[in-house]
Amino acid sequence: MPVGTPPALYRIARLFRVLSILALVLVFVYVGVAVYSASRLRGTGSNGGGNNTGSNGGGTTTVGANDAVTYATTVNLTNPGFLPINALQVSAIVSMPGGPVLARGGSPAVAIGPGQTAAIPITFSLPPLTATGPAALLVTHDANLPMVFWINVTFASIFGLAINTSQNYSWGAPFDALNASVGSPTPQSNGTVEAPITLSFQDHAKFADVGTVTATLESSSGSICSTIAFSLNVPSGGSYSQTQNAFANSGCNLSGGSVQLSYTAPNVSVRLPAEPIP
Amino acid sequence: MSAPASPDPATYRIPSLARRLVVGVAIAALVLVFVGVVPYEILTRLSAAGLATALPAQAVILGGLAFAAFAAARHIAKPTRAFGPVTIAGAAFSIGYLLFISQRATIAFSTHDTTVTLAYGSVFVLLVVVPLLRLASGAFTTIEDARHPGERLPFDYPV
Repeated sequence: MPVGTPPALYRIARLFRVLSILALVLVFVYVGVAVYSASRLRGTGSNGGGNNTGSNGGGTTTVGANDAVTYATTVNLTNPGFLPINALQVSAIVSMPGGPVLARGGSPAVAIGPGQTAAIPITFSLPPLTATGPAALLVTHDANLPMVFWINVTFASIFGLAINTSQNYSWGAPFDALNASVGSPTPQSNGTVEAPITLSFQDHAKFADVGTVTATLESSSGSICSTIAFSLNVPSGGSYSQTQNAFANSGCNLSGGSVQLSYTAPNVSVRLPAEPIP
Repeated sequence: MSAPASPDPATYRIPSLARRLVVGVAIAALVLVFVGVVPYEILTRLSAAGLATALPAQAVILGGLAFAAFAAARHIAKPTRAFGPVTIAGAAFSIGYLLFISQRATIAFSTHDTTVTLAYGSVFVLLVVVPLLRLASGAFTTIEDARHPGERLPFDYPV
């Protein structure tokens, strides 16, 4: 046995050696606990369905006051482990098929403590449904919109997970196959001209078309000849076809003109594609 | 001031150089297996399973060889004044190696529409604490050996 007390510097060196071994053990234990906790993460389902599901238990699709279509869903994530999820964030973009980015969205950065469940709201908005702009085609045509999601997670402050996934968002047009045709004008005894207008379309969207389509007959020179309104109450998946008579002044030459259409509903005003009059 | 007194040789027994060499090689082999061969095998199997790793498997083997060499050198040089500097050099290499790995510690998996990437470099940054403490230990041992050569021998190699 050595005689006396070990020298001070020797004891300090030995202390650091012991601390290094202790640190190594602690790091391994922490990593092991982190791996075990991560293996217990559970997504507890969502009320998001994609495919502009309206309000039927899937994600919610709403048309807002600014005519923008907002898709919102919530994903629940349970962290039953011992360590926190420091930052979870979802980002998404929706594009036209082969075309420009239509919308961006995602979720805020969410932290989920150990033993907690968090609801992660995911929203993105499509631009206003108008007759012009990048989303114009979506008013009257169904489309498969490419969507790209990015999910970034930091777990226990030491593990980072990045997920990038692509899928298609099935968009049903609210006015698919829109058609407004003008029949043969018939002169009336009072000097006006009666022109039947037939409006037809199919609602492929997951929300109903409830409102009014105003059809304005314009002459080839652009002057307004007549205006009529079609009252709509078309359920999702339904179709519409109705003929109404418009009365124009006899001096109004409809040939070569157009039918200007606009759809109005509570908090919604959408210009629809115009239909030419042969 | 008089020179510090050397400890009584009867109070310690240093293993022979041959024995230290044999034990040092055994320690090196163990270190090479756990720090070099096992991680290399894991990386190779991950690649074979279609998981992409940014960490070169050859770097892991070379790192394992270096760690093994430092471990053997520490054991062989323990009774000498080179023990402290070898410890410091080994710790410094460990810090550099861990930081090198931390920049490349990712595993990626791809399907036709999904890519998943796991980054675990922070684990190695956290592990840098271990060689930092070792480096401090080596520094104090170096100072001790410079001021009082052989004073620690009875406590490192008690009879």
